[in-house]
Amino acid sequence: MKKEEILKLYSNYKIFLYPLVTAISSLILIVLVIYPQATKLLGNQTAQQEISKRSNFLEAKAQTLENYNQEDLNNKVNLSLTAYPDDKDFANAIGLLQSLTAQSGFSIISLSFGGGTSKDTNVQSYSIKLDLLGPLKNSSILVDNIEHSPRLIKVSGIETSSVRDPNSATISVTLEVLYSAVVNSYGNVDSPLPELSDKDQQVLATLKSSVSSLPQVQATAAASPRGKLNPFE
Amino acid sequence: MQKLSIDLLPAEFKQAQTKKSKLYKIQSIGIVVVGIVGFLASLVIILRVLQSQKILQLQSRAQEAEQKVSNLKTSQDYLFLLKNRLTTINQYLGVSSKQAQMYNVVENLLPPTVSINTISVSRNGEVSILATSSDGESLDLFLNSLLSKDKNEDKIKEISMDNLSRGKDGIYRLTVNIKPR
Repeated sequence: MKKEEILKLYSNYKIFLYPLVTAISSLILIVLVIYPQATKLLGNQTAQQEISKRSNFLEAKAQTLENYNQEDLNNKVNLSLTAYPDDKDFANAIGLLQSLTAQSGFSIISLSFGGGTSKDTNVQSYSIKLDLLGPLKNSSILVDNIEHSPRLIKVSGIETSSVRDPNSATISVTLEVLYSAVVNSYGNVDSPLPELSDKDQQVLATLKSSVSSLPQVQATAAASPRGKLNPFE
Repeated sequence: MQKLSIDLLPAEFKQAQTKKSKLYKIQSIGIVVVGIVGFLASLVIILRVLQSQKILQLQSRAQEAEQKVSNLKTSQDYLFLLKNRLTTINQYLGVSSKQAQMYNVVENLLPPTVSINTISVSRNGEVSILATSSDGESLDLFLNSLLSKDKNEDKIKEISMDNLSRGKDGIYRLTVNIKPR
């Protein structure tokens, strides 16, 4: 084909060629640039929102954690571990029971430890059987004292036999002493922080006053610190 | 006076002019369309670049915050541990067990003239009592109190009297089993 022929063809059809070239170039721009970039733009909008949300959450979390007084937190953890330790605390339990039974007017004749049970996945327990001598009328006080002690102890059985003298009755009490091992790590960076509710604060205040009102427990705790210094080690 | 207009242009020239103006229009529309598409393409690209920069900024902020949180892991673990302990403590502290509740109910309902020989509370809260009294009315009062919903605080489900006897000494001996609700 000669050059003249091409030029002639062009001059004859240029009225169609212009819109065709425009349409093709627009289409190329739309297909290769606008559509993929707009899709990514919209898709990344969600990702951006998620990153922004995570970033805000982490900043708020870091701020909240910074606001906690580490020493105060340590004290509270120790207080909670006093009430509900991470291991079988035989010595402390004996000390506390001696104090509680004496307060209720009983003396311990014998004490034996039993195997543990698991109430649920979190709570473990071991049993203590106490044979006590004291006034029968004080038995309900003893039960109340044990159940309302700052250490989590539940009465699982009571037995009195052949009461001849109500002032020196023999009572056998089976107790379940609760404890639970500490998990090595709680949550990850993205886990939301638990909030200490008013009820939790009340419980901590109750524990603080109950523990301080028991001199024997304090003395025992001072002599041998309960649990590990860092429970996560 | 009427105006006279005479068109002396040849028909071919007129046709060529019409074609030219049509082509000009098409060219203009084409340029506008390409311009709009080009503008849109550049706008989308600029927005994408800005978005990428923003995402990078946010990612670096998130990483910084993540590092801060990681540095405070001990506090976080302590807080989780504390909450975990308090949840269980809340569940048990100051809450009487079924056994203790049953024991206290029976103790409170016991008339002074009735004395307990043996009492046992099993793991499921079932109470067995062997009581003695020289007064039959007191035993009756005791049993009625155990049966009364108001007095037993609605904690007793069932009472079964296993034995009631009166000895030569005139003392009543009563054996009852009490099932908790």
